[in-house]
Amino acid sequence: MEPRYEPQLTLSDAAPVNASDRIEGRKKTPLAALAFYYHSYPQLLSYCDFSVVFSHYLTMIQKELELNRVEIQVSRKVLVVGTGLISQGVIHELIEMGYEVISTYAEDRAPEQGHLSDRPSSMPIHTDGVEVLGPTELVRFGGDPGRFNVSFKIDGARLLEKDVGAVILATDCELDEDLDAWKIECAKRVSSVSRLITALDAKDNGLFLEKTAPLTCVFVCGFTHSSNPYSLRKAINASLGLVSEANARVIFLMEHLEVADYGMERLTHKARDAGILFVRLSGTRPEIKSIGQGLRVSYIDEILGDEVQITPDLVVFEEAYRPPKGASQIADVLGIHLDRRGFFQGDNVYNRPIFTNRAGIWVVGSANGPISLEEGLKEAKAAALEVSKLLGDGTRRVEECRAGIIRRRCSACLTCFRVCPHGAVSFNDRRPIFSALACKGCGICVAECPMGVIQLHDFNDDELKAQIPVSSSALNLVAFTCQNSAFEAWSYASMMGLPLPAGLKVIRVPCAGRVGVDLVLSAFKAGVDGVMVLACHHESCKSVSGSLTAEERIKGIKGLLEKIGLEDERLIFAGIGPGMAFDFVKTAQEMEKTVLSLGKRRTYG
Amino acid sequence: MARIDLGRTDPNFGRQLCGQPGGENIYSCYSCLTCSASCPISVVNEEFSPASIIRMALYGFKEEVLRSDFIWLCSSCYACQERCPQGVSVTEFMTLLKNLAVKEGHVPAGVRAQMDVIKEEGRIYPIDEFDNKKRGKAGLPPLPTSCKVVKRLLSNE
Repeated sequence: MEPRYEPQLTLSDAAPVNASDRIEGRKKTPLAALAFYYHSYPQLLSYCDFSVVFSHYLTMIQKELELNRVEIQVSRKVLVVGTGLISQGVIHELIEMGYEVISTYAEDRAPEQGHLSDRPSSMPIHTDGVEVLGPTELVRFGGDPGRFNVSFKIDGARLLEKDVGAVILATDCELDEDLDAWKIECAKRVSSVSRLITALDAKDNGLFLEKTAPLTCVFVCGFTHSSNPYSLRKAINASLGLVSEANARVIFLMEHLEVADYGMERLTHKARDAGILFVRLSGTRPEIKSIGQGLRVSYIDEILGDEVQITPDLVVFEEAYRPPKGASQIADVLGIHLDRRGFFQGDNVYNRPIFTNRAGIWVVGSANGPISLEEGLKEAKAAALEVSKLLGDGTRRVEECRAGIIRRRCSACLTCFRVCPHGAVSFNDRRPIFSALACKGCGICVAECPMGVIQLHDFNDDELKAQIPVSSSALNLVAFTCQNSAFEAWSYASMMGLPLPAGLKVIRVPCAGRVGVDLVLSAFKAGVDGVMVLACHHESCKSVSGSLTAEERIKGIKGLLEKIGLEDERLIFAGIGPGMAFDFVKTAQEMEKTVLSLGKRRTYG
Repeated sequence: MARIDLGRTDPNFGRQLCGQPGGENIYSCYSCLTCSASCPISVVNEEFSPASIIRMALYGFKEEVLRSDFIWLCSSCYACQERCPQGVSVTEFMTLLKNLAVKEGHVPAGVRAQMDVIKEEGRIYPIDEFDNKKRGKAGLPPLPTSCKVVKRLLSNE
């Protein structure tokens, strides 16, 4: 009993929130679509042998013409999390655009306590249209972009629910003096950059002890943490202050001179002209010990090849930039990734500055990593623009979601909800809702659904299985190639006329995550001798976790193969980048060799 | 490993050098070691490195630098100055150091000997009949064997 899949996906099988969410579809003209693709792929015109590749693109056009349009009502409220100068910038931009803002903060923190210098006096603080909630804790988050539902804990116990259309995270990162790492007892001669700046501004010489000028001062930047241009700017400005106020002799000990910000090269030249010496230590840390009433700093000078000792009057440490407080809890609730350091925005190469893995949630400013006020405010503008793209005037007309339930056998196991990297699945009354505004059509949910009830509109099982070659006496190899990576590599290889195995059939999928047990076993059932699943590399997966889930799944299927009497070498998973034509050929040829040595399979019927 | 104590240094030495011709850009040095890598003397004598001399000067080791032999090893080939990415006039800095050293009275014996010979004879290598005979054979005009005019010039300083 073969399960039957309806080829057409209609909204009546997905659970619409509102019957009026559906309107008549509008189709693109074929000519316009064709022109678009020729424009996007001009290389098609310069190669003779593109017929195979062209036919794939033609099917792509065909599918786009069949999706219906739907109308979605979205909220025009935006949740801005965090206080600080950049969050003020975000609120300003959103109010100017006519959206309403709910501004929340975790602790009592006035905007002036941000970690950035000089608040621009031109930045107004808005009160109209801004609802300020705090101190609050984010506890629950659901819904889909444009229709999020957030729950806060207020006053420690009370729960407050709000509906918002989008979320912008603008919490400030934490500054950590990190003095424990150096284990110094003599607190009098030690300071952090921030404390020194405060002392200089207050003309407070207590920090410089009773000694009269000239002062010997050592600045220590980095070593126990990564330095960055913003903290270096503060440190250099502080040291210039010391040179002018206390006729100080300043030596900077650092790993790298971080000058990747506007005006930093010029600032370091200015510092050098003032007689400040920058000593680079690559690989060794300076030793700082208390000797009697004072301190001794010693390090190996790499130019002289000798150990240098200094008895400074003052040692100033650059602060470490740490992730915002509560970042991991917020990330947990919102379903977004953190990077290796614990800042928002995962380690994926497609993460452009303000984007997270979820549509409708953006991160700006130092919540994402150390940044200057100038750049942070630019990010605030960019995030506000993205909000306006998402929410528009409150009504969005978009193509219907590419994923949907096609049978009523959904058991509400929540697997699709859990595996979707884009947060496109939410639940309403035990039926999953696939958000047209968040779904990227990767198909991970299709492959992971244990009941097999989810289908993608344009890469459904019927269409993919139809491409599996009929078994012949020659060697049959099938490669399921991710359209973002391996498929491009294959197009490139075929256009260059590289030697590919004769029996190789390439089947394009939206993401390797789309390839599930059913597809792989269908290929083997049809008599194919070898199956390759070719994906992006993990940190460049356009679907964030598609290639990872695919790799895990293939490992599992290999175990299954042995149970049904197939050698597990007949199935492989590999990461191939979009330009890696030669690697594609190599992988295919190696697979051909492996399968040849295993021999053609016996097929049934 | 010798220990260097910055307490023994002259913090004003660096700024003093900055204000003199040849020393203008020394603070721009970021120790890329391009100068040392292109120095022909460095190939023969590994301890000679223009970058270390600049570093010592910036630290303020006035006595060590001006008393050292190293600054006199510079052949003034300008390879370092041509290549310095920060525009440090390395060769001219060496010249400056040499001049300062002489002012302090530190001149290596060989250089002092050359100085004395020039004062006395007007030239370092004496020209005699033998050289003039060889010049005659090559069709070149003879050179004067004495150059006392230089001695007169130098004696008026």
